[in-house]
Amino acid sequence: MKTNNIAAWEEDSFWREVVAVLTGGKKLRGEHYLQNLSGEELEQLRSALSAPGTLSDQQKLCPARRGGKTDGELPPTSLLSPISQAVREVTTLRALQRQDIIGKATKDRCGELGIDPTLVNAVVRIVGEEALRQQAENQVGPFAISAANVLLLAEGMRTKSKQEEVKIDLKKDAEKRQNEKLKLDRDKFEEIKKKAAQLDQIKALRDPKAALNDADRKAIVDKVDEVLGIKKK
Amino acid sequence: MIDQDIKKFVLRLLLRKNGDTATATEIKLAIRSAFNAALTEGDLDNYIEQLEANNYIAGTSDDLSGTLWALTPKGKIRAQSLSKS
Repeated sequence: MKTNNIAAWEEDSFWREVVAVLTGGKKLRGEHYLQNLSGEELEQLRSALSAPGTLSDQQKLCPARRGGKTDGELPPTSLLSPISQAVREVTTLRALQRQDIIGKATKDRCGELGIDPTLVNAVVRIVGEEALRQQAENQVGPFAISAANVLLLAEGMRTKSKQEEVKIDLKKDAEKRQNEKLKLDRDKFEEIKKKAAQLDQIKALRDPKAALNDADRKAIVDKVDEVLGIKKK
Repeated sequence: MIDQDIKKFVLRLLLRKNGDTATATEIKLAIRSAFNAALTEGDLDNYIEQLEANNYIAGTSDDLSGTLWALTPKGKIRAQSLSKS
């Protein structure tokens, strides 16, 4: 029913969108079925078109036409069919928009938590696609599985790179230990060389054929004197 | 007729993204949700290809999500004209 020359559908954003789909962005004919329906009747029509059953079943639930030659008659299915299609399109577009809002909020929240945005985008898309798939197939299932796979894959990649880092660290440690071992070996070698030199020196001192110097002779005499108890005066 | 309706639907869908992109899968699933018609994957790919050929939409490649579709300036003008009531 018209009120102040403004049709009820014009005051409702959902029906404005439906009419835009129906007309392709053009003006709705003055005598169109929707033009004369009140707000309550539009709601009745929306409920009727979402009811289960065929279009003929739904037709019986629709509000009657108003005005003109066909006043009081039920709208024909040929008229209901494009309206039903347009309602379905707008409902899908609205559901998608809601999904986008949820996706954006998820991305913002994950961003605050410092989660990789590329990964978050991929997961949000996958969850969204899965939700759409279920809507298209009219069923509910485990729609986080694909997203979980992406997370696991990313986690796996992270683990792999972590493992590589650990490997590099271990390799560095091994090189460090090897260098320390080489240094110890070198020190040991130097020690052995030093000992060998000392042995050579001792050997030379112990050689009975070696000529005695004055200090040696004096040391022997002192020792003999000490053994014999001869005290020097 | 349904072909034109589907293509218009895709333009409306992308217009609602406000410059954001949609994957081909997202577009195809949305078509399946909105249209109660027996459409093959090939049919759905064709709609996207035709819209691209007409320079209404353009795709960019993404490693994780595949091709991401968005409206071109021409597509945006067309979609806006379709959404007026």
